[in-house]
Amino acid sequence: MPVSKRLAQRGFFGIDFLYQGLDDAYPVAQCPVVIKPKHLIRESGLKPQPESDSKTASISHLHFKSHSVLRGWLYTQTLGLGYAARMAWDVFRPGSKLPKLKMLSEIDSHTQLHLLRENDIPTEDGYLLGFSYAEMADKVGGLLTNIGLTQHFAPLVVIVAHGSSSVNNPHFAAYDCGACSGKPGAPNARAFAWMANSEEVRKILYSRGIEIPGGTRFIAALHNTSRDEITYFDKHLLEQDSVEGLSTFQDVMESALQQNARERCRWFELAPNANTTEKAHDHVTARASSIFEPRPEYNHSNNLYCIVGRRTLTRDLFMDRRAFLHSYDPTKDNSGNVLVRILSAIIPVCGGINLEYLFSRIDNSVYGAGTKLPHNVIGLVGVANGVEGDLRTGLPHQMIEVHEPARLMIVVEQTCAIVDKALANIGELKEWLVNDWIFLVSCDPNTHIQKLYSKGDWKAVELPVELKTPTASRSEDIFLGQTGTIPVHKLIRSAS
Amino acid sequence: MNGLMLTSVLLPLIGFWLIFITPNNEKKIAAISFWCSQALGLCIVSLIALWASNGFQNHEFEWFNLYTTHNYRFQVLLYFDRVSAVYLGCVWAIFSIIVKYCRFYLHRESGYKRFFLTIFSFVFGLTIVVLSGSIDVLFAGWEIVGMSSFLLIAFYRHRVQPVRNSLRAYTVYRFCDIGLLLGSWMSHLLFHESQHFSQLANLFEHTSFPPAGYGSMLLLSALIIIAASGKSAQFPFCFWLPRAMEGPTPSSAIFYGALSVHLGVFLLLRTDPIWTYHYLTRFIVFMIGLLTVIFASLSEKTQSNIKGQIAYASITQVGLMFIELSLGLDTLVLVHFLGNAFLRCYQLLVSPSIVAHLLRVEGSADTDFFIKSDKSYTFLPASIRNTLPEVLQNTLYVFSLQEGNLELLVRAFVWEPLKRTGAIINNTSAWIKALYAFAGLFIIMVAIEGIGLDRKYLSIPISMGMVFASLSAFGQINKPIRVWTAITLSSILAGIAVLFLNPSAKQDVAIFLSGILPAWLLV
Repeated sequence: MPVSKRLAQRGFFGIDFLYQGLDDAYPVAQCPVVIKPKHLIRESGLKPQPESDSKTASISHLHFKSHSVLRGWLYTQTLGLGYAARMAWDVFRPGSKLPKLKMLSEIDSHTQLHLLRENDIPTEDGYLLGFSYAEMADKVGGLLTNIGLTQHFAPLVVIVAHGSSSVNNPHFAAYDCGACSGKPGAPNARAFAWMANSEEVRKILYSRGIEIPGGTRFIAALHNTSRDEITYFDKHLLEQDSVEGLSTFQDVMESALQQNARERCRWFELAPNANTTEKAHDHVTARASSIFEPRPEYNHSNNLYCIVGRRTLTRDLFMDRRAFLHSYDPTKDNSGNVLVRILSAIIPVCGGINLEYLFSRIDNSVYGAGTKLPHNVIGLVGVANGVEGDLRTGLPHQMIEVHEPARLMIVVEQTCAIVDKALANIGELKEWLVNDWIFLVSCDPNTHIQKLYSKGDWKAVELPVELKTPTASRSEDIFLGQTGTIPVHKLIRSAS
Repeated sequence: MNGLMLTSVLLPLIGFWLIFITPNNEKKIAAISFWCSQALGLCIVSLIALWASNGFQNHEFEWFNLYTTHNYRFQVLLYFDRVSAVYLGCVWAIFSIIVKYCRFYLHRESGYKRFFLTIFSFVFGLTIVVLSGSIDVLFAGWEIVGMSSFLLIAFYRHRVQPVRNSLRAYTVYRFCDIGLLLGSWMSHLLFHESQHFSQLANLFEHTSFPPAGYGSMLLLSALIIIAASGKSAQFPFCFWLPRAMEGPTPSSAIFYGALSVHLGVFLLLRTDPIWTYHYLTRFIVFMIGLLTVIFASLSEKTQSNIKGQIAYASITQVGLMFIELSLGLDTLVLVHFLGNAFLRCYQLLVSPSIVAHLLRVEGSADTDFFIKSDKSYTFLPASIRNTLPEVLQNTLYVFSLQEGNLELLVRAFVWEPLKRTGAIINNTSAWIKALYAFAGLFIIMVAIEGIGLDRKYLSIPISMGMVFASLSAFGQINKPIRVWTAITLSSILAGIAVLFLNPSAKQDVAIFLSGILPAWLLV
């Protein structure tokens, strides 16, 4: 039985850059919108790309292009009929049963990222092409310190980014990683794994007191949250020298994803009464690849807590997918500096997500985008209802309909004194707390006494005396048949 | 074959009523609509197979006489030929796809039932139009299609914009319906019993012996062409189609991408013998097509939104169909119709994908729309060589951004005069109106008494009153009840005027008023 440990971090892994993938026409930022990246990372193919498939691609994308009148007439006359078959196929046999076209986050992994900067000459647009080893060590060291992983490295560390694939969905960015400006975090994970595997970076880190053993490998992966699938990157590197324990990890991950799919299915009214995890998994895959599905997933609906601390704090808890988890080792942060870094990321990111859902749910036609069915894409700017009228902001009704609006509760596993120190250094973000846009609870690492932050002061949390956490032995026992949100359960493992 | 034709028409209606009586339960509605679309498919496929096995012979079926007077019979006539086969097949294919699509797409949407009801009434109207055997029956289906279009554009009825745009589309529809209504009346006058589509062609076989005079044929053709170009959003009515994209995406796909917009082409195909008889009317159709192609293809290039682009692209293709029609290429038109219907329907269904596509595949949109200032302009004097292309380009940009100002044009020529006259009538005080009415009546009465004029001339001032009442309805703003009353008044006056003209038509007038008065009381 492999011992695995889960550590969580915000989705851009502390590495901010502009990213231009192989098929991308221009680079896009892979970091929260508040950060202005200075580095540009390009992806390139391992093999030279065959040019010949551009023609077939142009015919299959005919309906997206604009044509002159004559050509439009010719195409409509000749190829228009073919669309009857294509439309029937798309509607009656959704994508899951087809050899899937590669799009969105299903990135071909036969590529590599150009991470190492060869010279300091900026590009035409003023970006630095890649990172230097010292910068890489800063990024990697910063992240490892944040999550408290500075010793006892396992032989295999998998860096899992998240993204979401959906078809026929103009709001697809809202399902991707918010910390990556609405894009899948795959490039960041790949960059992090490459940096952490680099010998030069490890040398610099060693001089700073973080020793990564030679036997430790970092591997990048992407969790597709709508299809509940995981893609491992840079396979060519894995093939060169095999990694210990990877196949076991992949098997465990596979079954975990299927269970996750089953748990997600309870929110979908049209899901089959999933008796098996396979059926549930097929259902979520079909959802993500059907052109008629306005709800590929409910992603952050019902988000409620953000728990910053050691993962032993939340171990064996069933939290109904309502919590953001951030790893943090309170014992190594007496100054509160790590906490400052963490809070200044999670308050805008998690708090922003929470408020976006909250307001979109409270008044969907004013703060949200209304129902998504009549939406019409205007320029590449936004959507409106119909050909004229205001651009719609916020989240569409199909994303928030099951959300129970509540403000975010951040629980930090740290003493009040150190949290106070950290709060003094987070600047304007403190307004979120002072004005009650989010709640902050400090949970003492030793005594587990909880205190609620309130107008610059800490108040004891008074829990009802007879409060008892319900228990269960399997998470299926808790969620099957439930249609609303479920309170936290404690999972009791059967002795085995 | 008769039975199959009838079933094809009635199945959507049965589906409509079944959905109507079921409670708002998604599962049941989905099941009903699925089985109805399957049954309709079976019916249509066997109908086409039967027709093919009979050697592709045109088939006419007279169901029953709805209404008979001494010189008029309203028959419910169905007719099946090549054109019906193609249209019916297309209607079924798109209908069944949309029904399946919407089962999931509209899940949890309030108005699920309402949506399916409207789709079914739309398909009911369409099958009537496609299988109709005379202009009268066609008109009935035409109206049902118009009404359900209106209801689907205004599907989100709690917002202002959909309601406004649906009214905009509906007014164009109604204006063009007048063309069809007058057209069917005229065809009765001209061809009497023989206005069946099956007999139209025979009428014109003897070129030396035209069935009607030049002028009346021209007028009839013009009326039909107005009806067709309004429904198909052809010049000068192009503007309503992009604005009709207010309902859920699949409803836009089935209506404005695929089916509704091609009904004008269908009408022209059906009445082919009438309007191709003279070269002038052929030329008019050709010009309408050409102008539409120019206006719509230019406007399409500057549309900022995807549905507007698809709408204008569709209009352009329909314009090309008009051109093909005027050249007599009927088979080509049918192929073109099928291609355009399926392509636009698919494009609209996947229109939300345009963001992902442009961002990740194309990189940026290329609109193909600029004039290069290169060497070919050297023949121009040096002073304007650099500016003229740019000026032209900007002019074209502005022109196409304003969509040729067609909406303002139609408004200025059609609606504004009516509204202005209506406003003048409304601003006149009641006493003066009464005075005029009295004076009119008095003059006619004196004429009748004095010169011995026939009593039926009394209908002249009454129909004048009818026109004034209608105009006053146009002039009312934000007063729905008054508009309603004015329309009712106008209709009642029309009934009275007919009574004076033909005192024996009492029964007909009673039937007429039995519809008008309850409608007025409903409000």
